[in-house]
Amino acid sequence: MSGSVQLDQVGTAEWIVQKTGAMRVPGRIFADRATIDDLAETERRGGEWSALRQICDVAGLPGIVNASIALPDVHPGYGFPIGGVAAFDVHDGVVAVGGVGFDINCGVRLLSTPMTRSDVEPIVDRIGEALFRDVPAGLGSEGKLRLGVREIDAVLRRGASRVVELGFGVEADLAFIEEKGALPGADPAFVSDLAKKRQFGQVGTLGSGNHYLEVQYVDAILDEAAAEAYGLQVDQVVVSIHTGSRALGHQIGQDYLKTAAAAARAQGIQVNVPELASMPIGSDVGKQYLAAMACGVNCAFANRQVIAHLVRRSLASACAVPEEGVRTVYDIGHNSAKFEEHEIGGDRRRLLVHRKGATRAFGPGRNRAPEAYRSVGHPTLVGGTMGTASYILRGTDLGMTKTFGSGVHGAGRALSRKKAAKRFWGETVIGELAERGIRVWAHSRRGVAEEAPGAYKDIERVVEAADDAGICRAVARLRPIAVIKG
Amino acid sequence: MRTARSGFELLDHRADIGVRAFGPTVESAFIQAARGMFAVMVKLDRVRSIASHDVALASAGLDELLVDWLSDLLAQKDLSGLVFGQFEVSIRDGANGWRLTGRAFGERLDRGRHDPRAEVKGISHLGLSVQCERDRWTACAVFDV
Repeated sequence: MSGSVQLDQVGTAEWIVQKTGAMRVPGRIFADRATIDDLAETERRGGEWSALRQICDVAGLPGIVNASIALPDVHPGYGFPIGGVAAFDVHDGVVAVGGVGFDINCGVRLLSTPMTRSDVEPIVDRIGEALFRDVPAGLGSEGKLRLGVREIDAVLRRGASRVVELGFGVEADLAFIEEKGALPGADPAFVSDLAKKRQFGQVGTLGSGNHYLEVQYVDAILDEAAAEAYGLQVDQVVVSIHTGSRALGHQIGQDYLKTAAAAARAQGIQVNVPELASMPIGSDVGKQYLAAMACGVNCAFANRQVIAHLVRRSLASACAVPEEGVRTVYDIGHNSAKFEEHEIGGDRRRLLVHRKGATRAFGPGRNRAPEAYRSVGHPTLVGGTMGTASYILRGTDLGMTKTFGSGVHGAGRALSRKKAAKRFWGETVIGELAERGIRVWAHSRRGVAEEAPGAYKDIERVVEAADDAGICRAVARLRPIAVIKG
Repeated sequence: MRTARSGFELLDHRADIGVRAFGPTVESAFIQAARGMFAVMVKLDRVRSIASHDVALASAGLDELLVDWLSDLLAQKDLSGLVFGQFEVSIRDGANGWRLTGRAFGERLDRGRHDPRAEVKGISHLGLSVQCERDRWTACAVFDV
């Protein structure tokens, strides 16, 4: 028990939040005991930054199916918890701006290379400096691809495939991007001019904050069959790109929060949590938001596609790796709402699945995964910190029934940015990481302090809880060698 | 005098950064909130007032007006590359809500001189408030970084 919220353990790492008050469905949390204790304690102390309260608020939204779900990396977000999953019936359900988040389709692209750790370590400075020079990052950086009104509409409509046509990357990348790099239904007519203009110079930029580019090596293979299908071997060097839809996604979010609030006011609906303002899926405003959100999703796919191309160029110039030897393993987003079919009580139903700080993680045999990965399940990319491991997981059959085929996305912060900046010095963090064989290139020393490994929760616990709950299985562990930050 | 003071403090937030701005007038609280937002991104005292940007906004409530004010400045950063350190603001309560006219002074971001930090990506509606208590205005916002 925690205040008015009753939590019951129903599995090794699975808890039910019993339905109460305005909740239409129960909450279902997949997490370890320490996370549950932390959630309950935060809720008991009161205040608006309670992820448990947010799980209950989401459970009260119209048309929600089965449960308001939270994954092992759950922490408070804006309206929706981060690490939250909620599916809505397409006939009587809603789409919520807060359920997608502002950095629409923020996600991770994983590239494999033909190099091993021992190839890279002696020349890590050359590689890091080339990437730092070639991939725009940090406040005020501008992309290599400068778009105008007409060009940006094509990118928003067709995502990664459009930038491939413009010469950024290769056709073969597209099969290994979620939704093949373009979410259907995108209509730039429903994206404001301001959102588009803010993005003109930002396609192909990394950004700052928790976004990063990392050169990593495969430290351990934990599932041989899946690793073989994904083309990964121990000691192989890979590159992870973590970024999203930049200013465009945020402006779409801001614009449609206003639209949703106005629509709710017009219908006499009181919205207690502004970022939970939601729109019926079938309403005009709901359809318009979904068309704009799909543009944001496609913008993020295009963004990571351009950066992948810049990484290939960088590696070719720094260590003569042929561009065709750098392969897209997968590209997956963790902030979106997607139409999917799921089995509910023996029936196939079309649902709108919101994943806020959560990834798609379909089990084996589902046709949304690239054909080469279908037998083992959908890959899920879990970002760590610059000093800790990242993981590649795969979806499971159990996850399909428990979480609508969703997986974890990262470690989640343990310390606020302000506390981290007080506790850590950027230069010290960089020095300590260098002693452990991890080189950091960053535009902002304060940014490094805010993103210090000690500011984040333990990713091992997150992955272990997901594995204990059976919603994902660990495939490979990655460790950083070179880190590029904004 | 406590009521004559104006300023801002940056607040702890688990994933992001908040600002509590205060001053003797609603305008001064809005100005300090904007200063707080740019202090998250750059070293404020290094921003020279070389260029300016005019702002004219109308919103139903003061909370919403604060989001619109900060969002406008943030958008301008992306559109023109400007960062701002000084502001003039006038706020009026009209028949159809609140109106803000203002001007922001700054210059193009210089990554060498301005000591860039985290980029503010957006303004949250959670934790948002504009209040007046005993002649002291306070404006609070959380920045998504």
